[in-house]
Amino acid sequence: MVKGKILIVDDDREILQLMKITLSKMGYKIETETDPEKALIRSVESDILLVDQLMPDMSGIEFIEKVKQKGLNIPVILMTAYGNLEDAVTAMKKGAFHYITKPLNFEELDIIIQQALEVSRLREELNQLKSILGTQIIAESPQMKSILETAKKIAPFDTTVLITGESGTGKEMIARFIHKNSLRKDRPFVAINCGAIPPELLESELFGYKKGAFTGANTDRKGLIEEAEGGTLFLDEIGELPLNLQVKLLRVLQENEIKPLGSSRPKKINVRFIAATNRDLKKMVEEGKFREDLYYRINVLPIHIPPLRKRKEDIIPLARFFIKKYCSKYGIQPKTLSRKAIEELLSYPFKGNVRELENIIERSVLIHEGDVIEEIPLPVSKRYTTPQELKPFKQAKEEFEKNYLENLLKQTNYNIAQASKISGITRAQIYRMIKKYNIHI
Amino acid sequence: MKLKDYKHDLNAFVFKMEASAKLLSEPENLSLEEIKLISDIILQNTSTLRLFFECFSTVEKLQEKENRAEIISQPKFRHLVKEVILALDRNASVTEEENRIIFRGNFKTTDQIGKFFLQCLNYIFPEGKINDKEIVLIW
Repeated sequence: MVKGKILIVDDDREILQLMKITLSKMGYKIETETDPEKALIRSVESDILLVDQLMPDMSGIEFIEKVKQKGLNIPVILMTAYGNLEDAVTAMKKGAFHYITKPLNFEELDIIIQQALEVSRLREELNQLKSILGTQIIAESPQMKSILETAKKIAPFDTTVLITGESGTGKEMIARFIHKNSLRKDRPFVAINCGAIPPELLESELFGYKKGAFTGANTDRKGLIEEAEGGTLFLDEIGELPLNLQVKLLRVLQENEIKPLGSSRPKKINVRFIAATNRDLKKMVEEGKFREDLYYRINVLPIHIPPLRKRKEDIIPLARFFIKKYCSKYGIQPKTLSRKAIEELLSYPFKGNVRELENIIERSVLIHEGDVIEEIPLPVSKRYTTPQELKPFKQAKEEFEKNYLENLLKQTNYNIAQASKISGITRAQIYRMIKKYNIHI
Repeated sequence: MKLKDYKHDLNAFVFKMEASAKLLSEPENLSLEEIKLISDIILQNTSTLRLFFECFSTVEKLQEKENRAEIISQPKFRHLVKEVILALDRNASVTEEENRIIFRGNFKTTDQIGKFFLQCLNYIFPEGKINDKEIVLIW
């Protein structure tokens, strides 16, 4: 079993070759790179980065800074010249996991790498636990980062929030995130899918009932609004709420009180409401299918979650997260994604969004027996890109540039020099574009 | 020229030799291809180290005012120069003229030893011409 994947960055090819042989014999999967810029792009696929301090184009310390700027949480071990304590101290200050002096002692290096892997593993476990508790959201894309920032800002206020987005984009996750970051975090978070409960039962589910309110009501029963007392009620698929209940919900929001079925006395409540929908509520208002007053009442703080295909930067981190989740669930050894699998995931439209990605990854984890998921079992009929919409010129141009660059890099087997020659774009410009479009190579 | 100026690269040589020796001490764990690769690295490094010390001692001799004409006229010196050039670029081409040798290739180097070789050539052949693509040495 592979102990961990290490990317070694050094301008000396012979050192790289010897380190690769030695560390491979110790059970590590070794990748090497002489160009630090390329290494930065490749680093996302590694568990640990081992980097030389003295390189002609970029020092090891500068490399560490860039890794941190990219927001990568990968431990970096710096290789410094013997006796150069100054570099070692600077590297540690910049966020290096450790340093090792040259000439290297492989036994010592092995211990440091194992420590780094252990820290990395614990960090991931912590993230997983946080996620299970509903407080962590995988967000690498600028859109999702901005959503989380907004959510964090609005969390402490009791205002109603309307979360919109396609099915499977993670609306409930954002609702839970808001709850966990609010002053109500120690009180209940209650979720109800308005579209999943038959309309005739929805009222009693939401508002509760008194004994004898209808046939079969043998005892008093609290509704979900009351269950969420002091906490947050998440009304998913609010667009499916029947018109008669929309009126009642509006009253609850305005008066902060409910009247259970069969009761004539209103009850004061203290609940924060977060609603979500994948439908166009404004259009529904125009069509008379959704009450305008309720729409404005719930749409105080709107949050829109873009579909996964429009925030591709999240696909691979999410996929890796789900791989860990399902490997752990099924007691399977950890797996990684091959470059081909990464490309397949990045070019798939994910109409079912994160939910679909999770299902696909669960299937992949179960199907593939080795350490690496070589291929993703995507439905053949769905391997196409989404239909072209008429977009603003700037957006269309950027999309073209990104696609062009992805194809160019694929065709040149990610050889930047060759890509530069074919395209007539300078290497520096290609690197800038790779960074701009966050292309994983 | 002081040895400490080349500490980084000399340390790298030591490391490579040591790592190679360690790997070769357990040949049963290595494939034939790996053994060949390690042997090549050892040969390459010993050769570069030898060149380094030969150049170093030549420069020292010149600094100690030994006869330059006598040193550079020796056939083994001409051979040494060719070896240095090939260490800088294995594929360099050579054109020998009456009192000069012209080497063409890629002589751009960033490592300490490579720079050292260029400095040596410059020192020994002050009238020569050295740039990234061409080295002209006048005897």
